[in-house]
Amino acid sequence: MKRFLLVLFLWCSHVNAQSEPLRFEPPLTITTAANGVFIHLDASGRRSIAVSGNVVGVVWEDNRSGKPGIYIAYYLPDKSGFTQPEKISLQSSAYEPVIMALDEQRFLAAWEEDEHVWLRVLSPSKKGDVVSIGQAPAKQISVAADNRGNTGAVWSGGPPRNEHIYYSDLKANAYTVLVSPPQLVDTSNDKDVQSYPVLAFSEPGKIVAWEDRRHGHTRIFSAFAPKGQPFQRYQPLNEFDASPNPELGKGSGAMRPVLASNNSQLAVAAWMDKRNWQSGYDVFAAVSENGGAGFGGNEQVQDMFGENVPQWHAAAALHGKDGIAAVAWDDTRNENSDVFYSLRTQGKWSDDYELTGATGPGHQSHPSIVFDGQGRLHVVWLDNAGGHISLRYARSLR
Amino acid sequence: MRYLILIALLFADIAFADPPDNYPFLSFDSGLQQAQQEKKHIFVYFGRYGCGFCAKTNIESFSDPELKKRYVKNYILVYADAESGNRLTLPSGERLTEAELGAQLNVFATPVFLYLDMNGEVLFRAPGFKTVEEFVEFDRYIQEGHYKTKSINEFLSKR
Repeated sequence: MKRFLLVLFLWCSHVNAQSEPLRFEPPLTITTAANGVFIHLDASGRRSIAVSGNVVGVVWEDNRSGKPGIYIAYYLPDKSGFTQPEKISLQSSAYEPVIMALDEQRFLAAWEEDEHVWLRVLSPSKKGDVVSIGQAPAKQISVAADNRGNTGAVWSGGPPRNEHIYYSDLKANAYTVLVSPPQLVDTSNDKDVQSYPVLAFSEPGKIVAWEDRRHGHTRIFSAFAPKGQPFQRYQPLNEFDASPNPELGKGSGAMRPVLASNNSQLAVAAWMDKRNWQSGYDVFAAVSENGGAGFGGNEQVQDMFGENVPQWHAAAALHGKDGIAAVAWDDTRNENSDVFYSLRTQGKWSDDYELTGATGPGHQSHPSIVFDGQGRLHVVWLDNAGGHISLRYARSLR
Repeated sequence: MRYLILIALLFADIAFADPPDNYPFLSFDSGLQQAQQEKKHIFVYFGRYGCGFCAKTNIESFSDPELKKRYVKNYILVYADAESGNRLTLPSGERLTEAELGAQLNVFATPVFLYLDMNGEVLFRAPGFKTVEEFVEFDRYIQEGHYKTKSINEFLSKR
C-alpha cells in the first residue's frame, strides 16, 4: 500500500509539474508574398513581434519593392486583421529588423541598412525620424526596453573578422530617439569575433548575450551590468566538455542566443547548441534568478521526441507575473517543418507542444514570440506552402 | 617539407576551420554565377568554425595535390560557413545568410559536401570526413554522368 501511495504521489507530482498546452485563437495572415518575393523573420535575438498596450506590432524584411526592405504591420484591438504593411526603412537594401514595445502604443524598431544600424519610433498613427547609431560597419542590432523607462540597443560593429558587441542607452521622447555614446560590452583583451547580440533589462541591471569565437569555436557568452555601472566580465553561457578527440575540433558549435526577462529577477537565455552533434542543433537554455548577474546550469528545452532531428530558430519569452518562460522553434520531427514550443514552470520544461495553426502540410518555421501583460503568448511565423510564403500570427487565450 | 606543410595546415585550419589554403573557393552566389558562365558543376563545402572533421579533411584529403588539381579543374568551388551571417543571393532572387542556406539544405553536422549542377540543383550530398579516394570516386560519379542513372550508393557498390 505504501509503495502504491508513493507511486501515486510521484505521478501526481509529475503531472502537476507539467504545463498544459496553450489554447490559441485562429491564426491570422499578416501578409502573403507574391511570386519572387521572400519574407524573412531573422532578427538578432528573434524579436520580430511586440505588444504595446493592446496593439501588436510585427516587423519583417521582404523584397516586394525589388530590394530587401523593412515593413511593419499592426493588429489593433478593434480590427479583425492586421493593417496593411508599411515600409519603415530607407532606400537601400535593409535587413534583420527587430521591434520592442514602448508605452502608449509606440514601438521602437531597428534594422541594418547601408552598413549602419538604424532606429525608429513608430505607432499605428505616426512614424518618427530614422536615426543612425554607432559607426559603420555595423549589423545585427537588437533592442530592449523595460517598464522603468530603460531602453537600449546592442549590435555587432567593426570590420569583418574583427566585429565586437556595442551597447548604447537610448531615450525615446515621443517619436525622437536620443542615443548615448556607444560602449564596448566586453573590454577584455582576448576578444575575437563577436556577433548576434541580444539585450534584456532586469530589476538589478541589464544583460547582453552574444556569439563569441575566442575559444576557437562559436560559444554563447553573456555579460551583466548592474544598474548605473559598466558591464562586468563576460561569462560563458553554454557549457561543454572539451573533447578528448581532436577530430571533434576545438568544440561543438552554438549559435543565435535569445534572451527574455520578466523585468524583475528572472531571465532566461536560450540558443541552438550542437553539443549532441549527430542530430544537429538542440535548443538549450539557462535561467537566471538574480537578474542576469549569473545563470544556472544548462537545460535542454526540447523533449526526447525531438532528439533525432535538428532544431532551428529558437525564440524566447517570459511572462512577468507568473515567471513562465516559453521557448519556440521549428523542427522536422513530423517530416515537414512545424513550429513547436515548450513552457517552463516550477523549474521544468514541459513536453513539446505543436503550435496550433503552424503544423501540418507545408513548411512552418522561424517563430518569434512575446507575452503580453495578461500572460497571452503572441506568435508570428513563416508559412511556406509550395513556395507561397505567408507571415502568420496567433495569440493564446491564456 | 611535406610534414612541415601538414603541421602548418593543422594550425591554420584548427584556428579558422576555413576552406583549405590555395583553393579558389568562392561564396555560394558568386559560385553559382561562375558555374553558369563556365558550364561547370559546383562543389559546395559546408564547414563550421572550430569543426574538427573539417580540419581533418583539409589536412588529410585536400592537401593532396592531385585531388586539388582534379577539383579545381572540374568544379566551381564554393565554401559556406554553416554558422555565418554572411549574405548571399540564390538563383530565385532570395537573399539570405549562409547559416539560413544551411538550414534550408538541412546541413546540421559539418563538414557536408554538396555536388550541384550548374543551375544549383543538388545532385548528391556527402556528409562527414572523406578520404582522397572517396573524393575521387565522387568526382567520377559526377563527371562521367553516372548521377543521371544511378544513386551514389549504386554507383559505389558496382565499381
